[in-house]
Amino acid sequence: MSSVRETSIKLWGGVCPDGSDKDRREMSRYLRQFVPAMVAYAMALVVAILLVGDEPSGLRRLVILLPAIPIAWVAVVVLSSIRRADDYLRQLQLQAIAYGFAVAMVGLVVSGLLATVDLQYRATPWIVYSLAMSTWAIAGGYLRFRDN
Amino acid sequence: MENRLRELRAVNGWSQAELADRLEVSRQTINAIEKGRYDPSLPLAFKIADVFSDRIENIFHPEGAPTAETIKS
Repeated sequence: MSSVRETSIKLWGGVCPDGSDKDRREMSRYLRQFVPAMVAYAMALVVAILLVGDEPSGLRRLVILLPAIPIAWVAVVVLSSIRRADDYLRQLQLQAIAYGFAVAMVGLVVSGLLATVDLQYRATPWIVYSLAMSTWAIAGGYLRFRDN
Repeated sequence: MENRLRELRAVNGWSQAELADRLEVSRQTINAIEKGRYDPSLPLAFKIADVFSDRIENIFHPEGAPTAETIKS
């Protein structure tokens, strides 16, 4: 079991070659949990879309919620990674999340305002979601890159 | 806050990653402290002092304030 863990640290920890042992261990642990969760999400999304079909009705429509389960798992992985981070990295991560949250809030207010004048699009939540996640990822990447 | 972390690290011949391992933090945290971008929490400051076997006030001091060593000399 420990050799599996060591191999995993070598494999995933290589993402931060100049980091400390703690950095490599943490990166390895994070990716070991994050990647399967995202793969599960992608698979659940495909399965849900296939099962729901073109004209879903009744309870069958609820199948579309299937991908929400692995997304909740992703959220748990991210939150536990933030909890394990040292003070400074936690500060950076929370800063990046705050940027993403701000974009999400502005996006939701804009979509809410548009909805009051009957300008509603099915894709709006996905656009807001993508913008917020991209902002979070870019801000997180920039803040970490700045300190290298 | 200003600090002598880089200087003390050089004296001991440690890389940022080695010091990070001793303090159980990320290398980026060490880099941020050395660049003055981040003031460590009190527990981390005590840990740093412990690793260098020195007093906190000899390692960290307010910007522009005389250091403990300057006062001695």
